[in-house]
Amino acid sequence: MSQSPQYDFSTPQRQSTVAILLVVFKTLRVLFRQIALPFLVFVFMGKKSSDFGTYFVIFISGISLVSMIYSIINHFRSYYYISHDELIVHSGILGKKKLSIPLERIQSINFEQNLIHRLFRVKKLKLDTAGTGEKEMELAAIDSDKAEALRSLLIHRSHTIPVAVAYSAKHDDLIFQLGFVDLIRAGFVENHLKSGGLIFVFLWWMYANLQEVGINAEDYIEDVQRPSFSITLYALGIGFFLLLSLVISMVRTIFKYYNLHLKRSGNGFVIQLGLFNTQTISALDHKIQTVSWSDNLLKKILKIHDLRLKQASNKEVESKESITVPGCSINHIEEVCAYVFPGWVKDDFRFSSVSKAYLWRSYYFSVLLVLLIIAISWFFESYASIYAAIVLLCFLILMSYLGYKKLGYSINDKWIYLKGGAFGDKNVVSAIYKTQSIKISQNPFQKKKNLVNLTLYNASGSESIPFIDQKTAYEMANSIIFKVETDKRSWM
Amino acid sequence: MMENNLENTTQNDFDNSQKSVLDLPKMEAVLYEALHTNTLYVNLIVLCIIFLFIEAGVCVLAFTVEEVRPYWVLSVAGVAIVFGLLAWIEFKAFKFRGYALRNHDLLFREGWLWKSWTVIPFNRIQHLEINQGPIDRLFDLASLQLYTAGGASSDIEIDGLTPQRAADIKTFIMAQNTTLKQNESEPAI
Repeated sequence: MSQSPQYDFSTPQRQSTVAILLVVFKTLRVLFRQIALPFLVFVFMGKKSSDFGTYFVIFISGISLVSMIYSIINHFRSYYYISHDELIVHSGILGKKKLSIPLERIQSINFEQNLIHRLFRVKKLKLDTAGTGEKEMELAAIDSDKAEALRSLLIHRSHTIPVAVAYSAKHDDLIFQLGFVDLIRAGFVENHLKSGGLIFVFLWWMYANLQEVGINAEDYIEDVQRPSFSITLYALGIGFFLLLSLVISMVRTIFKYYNLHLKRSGNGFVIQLGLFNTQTISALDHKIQTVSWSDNLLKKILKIHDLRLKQASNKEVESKESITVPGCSINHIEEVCAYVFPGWVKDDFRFSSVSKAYLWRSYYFSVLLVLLIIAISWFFESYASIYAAIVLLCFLILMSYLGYKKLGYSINDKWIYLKGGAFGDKNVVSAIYKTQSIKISQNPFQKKKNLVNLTLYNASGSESIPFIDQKTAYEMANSIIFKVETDKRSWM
Repeated sequence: MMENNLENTTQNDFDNSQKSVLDLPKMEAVLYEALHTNTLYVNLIVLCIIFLFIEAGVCVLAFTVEEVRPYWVLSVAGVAIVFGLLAWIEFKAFKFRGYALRNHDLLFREGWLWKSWTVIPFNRIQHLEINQGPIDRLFDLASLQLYTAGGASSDIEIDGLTPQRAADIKTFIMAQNTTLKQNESEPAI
């Protein structure tokens, strides 16, 4: 981690010229998305697109080209350098813009590389600072070696990053690595409903775009020979859909998590992942607000979980900085927890369940919803949907029951541990002293039974414990507040 | 400015002696201060203004669109009922709304049928803001907004303070929170 002498960051310098290529590539990608479909339609169908479509494409292309030229000129006009303990970036064509970040306040430094970055051996540098507001900086392309040198220099000069978090892969402890077989397994048990949803979104996008260029897909439905709808055909269609969903899940998982490494490095974790777009993300212990892990029915069989580290984010809660590591075993998770929560023993927690009224409320809502569906079906004389509604009711009742059974909370001197989930399991652990504020709420139905909901807010979101006894909730809230107010440690 | 050295808390300055639950300060035992009565008037006036605008819109619609015209009485009455209900809820909720200041935190309660109580410790406040709208100024009122890193749903806005009271609370919180003072005096980057 000694700083390389051959790089001098005190003189203003431009980013790598590859940045121009990145801008051009980005513009081409935007143009391709807009133009490809109308072009294909024109070539293969000989059909001229509607005037509106043409103008729209010209308009979008014009804007992209102008912004591309602007970005290229901006590249030649922007310089970065380090001066007086500040990293400064000058930019601007008409008005001059100066962005400066005090080195001591830099909180994390992440690298990102897409295919072009890797081809030309450059890296994208992302900086994150302590404090509120949008104080983040991005340098689109810096030569790999130079980027490494800058990174170690910044780590060395930052007060907020412990010096121990050097970035030398050799000295880091590997916690977890996703080999290719593990990757396939993780892809296999992903939530395929999500991928199926993506197929629908894609079809809808195709449909809308075709309509925009002047082809009404509905006109062609008439042309398709109407096959006799048989059960076999339905089964075949559903089978094909499921297979496609599975393939999409696989491909998505492989692209995103290829060669995943989770390492312990100093006072934090370093995560590397990605097939074409490789990312190096660091998560420091003090910035991590919650550690959670979950599984679904399929994952439960293979005994693997998705681990999620949620970090405090600068831009309020809207853009949570959470990192997901799929395919973890419970041992890996316990290892991570042992680092983030020193002294943590999983079996130390005694879980309490919430009031049974919570279960009854879920039942009421399920029945109410199903009755509504039945009433509407009845009104429209669609009797088939009544059967569907009854199946839905069974499903909802089962889900409510499992959801209630699995819901549990445990709180001790230092940590809060919440359990939940319906068909899968969900676990969330956070340190009490990282709590930001507490809300107790009560609705008129809870009032009769002296029940309340307790919500704990931290810098990466909130966790709620519903339907607990008022007295217990106040005792918990009082002790949490006491701990937050007396603990001198910083929550970030 | 942010000390995040985990070892910062030594045995000496961190009193972690066992506390019985009974000894802890109780948030359920605090007395809440009510808001200035004028706040209710301000909120009702704002509601009235919105109401009048919407009613005007409904009337314009009724007399320009042929299809809506037969139902104009119904729509005007409907809007009136909805706003009457909102005013009633505001009136009811106002009685409950209040804040309490303790040495190390601020409590706020609100709601009528759906009630909530929020606590924000001073050492988690990131930013404080005093706001005064045009109608507030007319009634000599101001509101104090407390921001934490917990996000918008956990932030507190106490409306219905006199500007003097709002400034006093702000000064008190700033005095109790040393990190906040540093933050505020630092020039924005």
